Amino acid sequence: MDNMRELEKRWYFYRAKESLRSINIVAFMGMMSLASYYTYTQVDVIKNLFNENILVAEAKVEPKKVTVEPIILAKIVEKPVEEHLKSTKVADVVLASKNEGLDGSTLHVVALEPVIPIIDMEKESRKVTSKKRVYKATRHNQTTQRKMVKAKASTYLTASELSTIKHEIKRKSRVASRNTENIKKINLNGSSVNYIETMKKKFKRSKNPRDALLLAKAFYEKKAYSQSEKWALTANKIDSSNDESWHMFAKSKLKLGQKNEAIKILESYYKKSHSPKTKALIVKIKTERL
Amino acid sequence: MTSRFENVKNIFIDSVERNNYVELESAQHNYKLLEKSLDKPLKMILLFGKPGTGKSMLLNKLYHNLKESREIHYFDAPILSEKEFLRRVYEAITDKAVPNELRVNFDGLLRFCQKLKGEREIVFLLDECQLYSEALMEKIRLLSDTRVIKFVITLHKTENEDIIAKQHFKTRIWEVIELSNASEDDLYIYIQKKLIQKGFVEISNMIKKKHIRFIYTYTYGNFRESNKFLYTLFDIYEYFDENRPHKVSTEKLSKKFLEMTALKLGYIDG
Repeated sequence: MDNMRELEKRWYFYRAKESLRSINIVAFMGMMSLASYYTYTQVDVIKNLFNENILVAEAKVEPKKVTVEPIILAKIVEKPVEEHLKSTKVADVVLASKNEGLDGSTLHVVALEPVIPIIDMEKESRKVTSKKRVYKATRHNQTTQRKMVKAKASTYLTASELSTIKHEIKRKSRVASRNTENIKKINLNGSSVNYIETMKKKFKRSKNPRDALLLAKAFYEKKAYSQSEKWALTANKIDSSNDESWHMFAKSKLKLGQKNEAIKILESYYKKSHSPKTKALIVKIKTERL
Repeated sequence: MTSRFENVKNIFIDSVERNNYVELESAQHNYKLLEKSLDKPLKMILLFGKPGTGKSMLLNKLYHNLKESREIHYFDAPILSEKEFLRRVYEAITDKAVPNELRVNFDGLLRFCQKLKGEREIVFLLDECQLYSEALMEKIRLLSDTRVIKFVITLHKTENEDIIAKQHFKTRIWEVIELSNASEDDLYIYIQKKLIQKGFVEISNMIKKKHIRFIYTYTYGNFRESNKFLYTLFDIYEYFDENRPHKVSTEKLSKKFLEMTALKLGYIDG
C-alpha cells in the first residue's frame, strides 16, 4: 500500500515535470516566433534603406537634366506648382490672380493647368471648379470693365475716344490670348518632366508617401508603368493603409501585362481593408473595363 | 472483498499454457510454416527470435496439437546434464524407464537410432537451447544425422546465439523460422482476445487504440513485456478499486494509471 502511495507521489512529480516541459516548449516556440517576426521586420527596414539609397543616387543624376532647360521656364512652372501643393485653399489662388491683374492671373492659372491633371484626379476636379471660378471671375472683370467703359462712354468720353479704347482693349486681349497659347504649349511640353523632378526632390526631402504616390500617378500618366509600379510600392511601403497606393500598384501591374498578379494583390488587400473602391477596381480589371 | 481487477490481472501472468494461446495472424502463419517443415525431410528446425516473441508458446501449441498424431516429445525446460538428457531421450524413444544406477551410452543410443531408420520418425521439441552446452549440442547434431530423430529447437536472438545458429548448425538446420514482436494492431488484437477469451468484455471495451499506442511505445509489441505491463496496470487498478473506488472509472483506461504503470516498470523517470 505504501508502495502504491509512493508510486502516486512519483506520478504527481512526473506530471509536474511534464507540464513544465510543455510550458517551456510553448515559451520557446513563442520566442522563436517573435524572433522570426523581428528578423522579418528588420529585413524590411534594410530593404527600405536600400531603396532609399537608390533614390538618392537617382536624385544626384537628375538635376543635370534640369539645368538643360531654360531657367525662366523652370521658375515659372516650379513656383506655381509648389505654391499649389502647399496651398489648400483654391480661393487664395483666385484672389491672388485678381490682385495681379488680367495678364498675371492668366499666367499663373495656365502654368498650373497642364500639371494638375497629372497630379491628382481629385485635385483636378477641384481645379476644374476653381478654373471655372477664375474664368467666371475674368469674365466678370471683363464684363464689368466693358460695362464700365460703356458707362464712361455714355457719360465722359467722346465717340472717337471710345473707339480708340475699344480698339486698345481688343488688341490687348489678342496679345494676351496669344501669350496664353504660347505658355500653354511650352508648359504642355515641359511641365511633366519638371513636375517629376520637382516631386522627386520633394519626396527626397519629405519622405511623404503622398509625394511618392503623386510620382507614381505621374509616371502612370506618362505610360512609364514600371516606374509607376516602383513609386506606388515606395508609397505603400511607407503607408500600407492607403488604398490609392495599392490601386496604383495593381493598375501598373495590369498595364505591364500581369493581370493575374494585379487581381491577386487587390484581392489580398481587399480581404484586409474591405474597401469598396478596391472591390470596384477588382471587378473593373476582371471585366477588362479598365 | 476482492476486486474484480484481481482476476483480470491474473490472465496476464506470463505462462506457456495452451489455453492462454491467442491466435494472431502472424503467429498462425508461423505455426503453419512450422507444421509444414515437420513434414519435410529436415534434420533440424530452428525457431529464432528475441525473448518474449512467443517461441515457447508456439512450441507448446505444436506439441499439444500433434501429440496424438505423431511421435513427439517436448522438453520445455532445458536439461543441462548430458547424462540426464540422453536418459530422457532414450526413455522417450523406448518408453522404458532407465534404472538410476545405469547410464545411457551415447554410441549405443546412436546405433539404436540407426537401426530404427525408415521405421520411425521421432520429433523432439527443445526449448531454450541457448542453455545447452556446446558438447551436448554436438551430440544432438549427430543424433539428428540418423534421420530418425528430428529436432525443433528454440534460440534467443542475441549476438552469441546468432553465432551458434550460424556456425554450429549451419549445415543441418534447413529451416529457420524467425519470430518478431507484434505490431501495434496485433498487440491490440492480442489484448482484446485475451480479455474476451476469459470473459472480461467490459474491461476489453475500456481499452482503446490510443492506450495500446501508449503501451506499445514502451513494450515495442513484445508479448512478455506487454503482459507484464498489463499485469501491473490491473494491479494498480485493483489497489484503487479496493481503497479509493471513486477514482476508478470503467468507461476507459485511466491515463494516470497507465503512466503510473510505466513509472513502476521504469519505462519513464518520475
